[in-house]
Amino acid sequence: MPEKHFYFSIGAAVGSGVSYLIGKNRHKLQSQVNIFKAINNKSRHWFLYFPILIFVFGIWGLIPDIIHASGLLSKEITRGGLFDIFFFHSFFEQLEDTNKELDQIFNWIGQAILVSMSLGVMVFYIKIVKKIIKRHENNKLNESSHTENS
Amino acid sequence: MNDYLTGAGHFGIGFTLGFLIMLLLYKVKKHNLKVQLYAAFIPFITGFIASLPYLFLDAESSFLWLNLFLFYDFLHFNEVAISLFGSLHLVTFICGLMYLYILMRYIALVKHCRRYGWRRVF
Repeated sequence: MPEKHFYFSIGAAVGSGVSYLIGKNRHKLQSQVNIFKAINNKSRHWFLYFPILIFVFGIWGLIPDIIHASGLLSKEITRGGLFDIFFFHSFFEQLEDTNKELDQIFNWIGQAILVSMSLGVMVFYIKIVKKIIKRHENNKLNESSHTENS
Repeated sequence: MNDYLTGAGHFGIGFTLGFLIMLLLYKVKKHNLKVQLYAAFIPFITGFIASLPYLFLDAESSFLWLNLFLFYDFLHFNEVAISLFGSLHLVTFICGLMYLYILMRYIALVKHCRRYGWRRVF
């Protein structure tokens, strides 16, 4: 079977897609949707915590493995059609059963997604910091030109 | 557990070493914005270097020159290293915690810059 990180990475990729959509529409969301209004009232920096969402989606992909590892259900049951709701868990397991080479490919894909996601999140924060510093510097320049003019 | 250190174990050791270097840099160069922004990439670079031979060689390979990759050859059959970093779950957990610290640090930096810009000491 593909390693657990493959399922986690698929969930993380979906989570980052959702985070991207929320981030893009966050001003609209925090003025119109109650739950986002409440979160925004708690902290105006709320969107900075979006990696939590990525983690939650990633864990969703691991649920069949967690159920199986904890001994609640057998592997045969966690490979049933119902478990496709966990990012096509059964589908990938069956695909891998028919073609063993796919196992390695899935693992590589999972690793590549995880590395690019973890570095991508860091790049996101770096971009924000740079943007803020630039804005602060521009404000400073504007303030100094105002005082010179007056 | 294997009688050699897997790629994940080598990555874990490299990542931990890089993380310690990063913490040291944060302390020593706390006024340097570039360090605050980019030092977090060091654990990934050292982790990558440490596990690079594992991608291209057999698991049982042993050459002295491999020590150039963060003492790969020495660590590969070292019992202490295997007992500490031999478990994939443990490596995932340790690296996850370190990555969490990196993210928390970035979030704190963004909050600080929103408030003060980059004028005061972070």
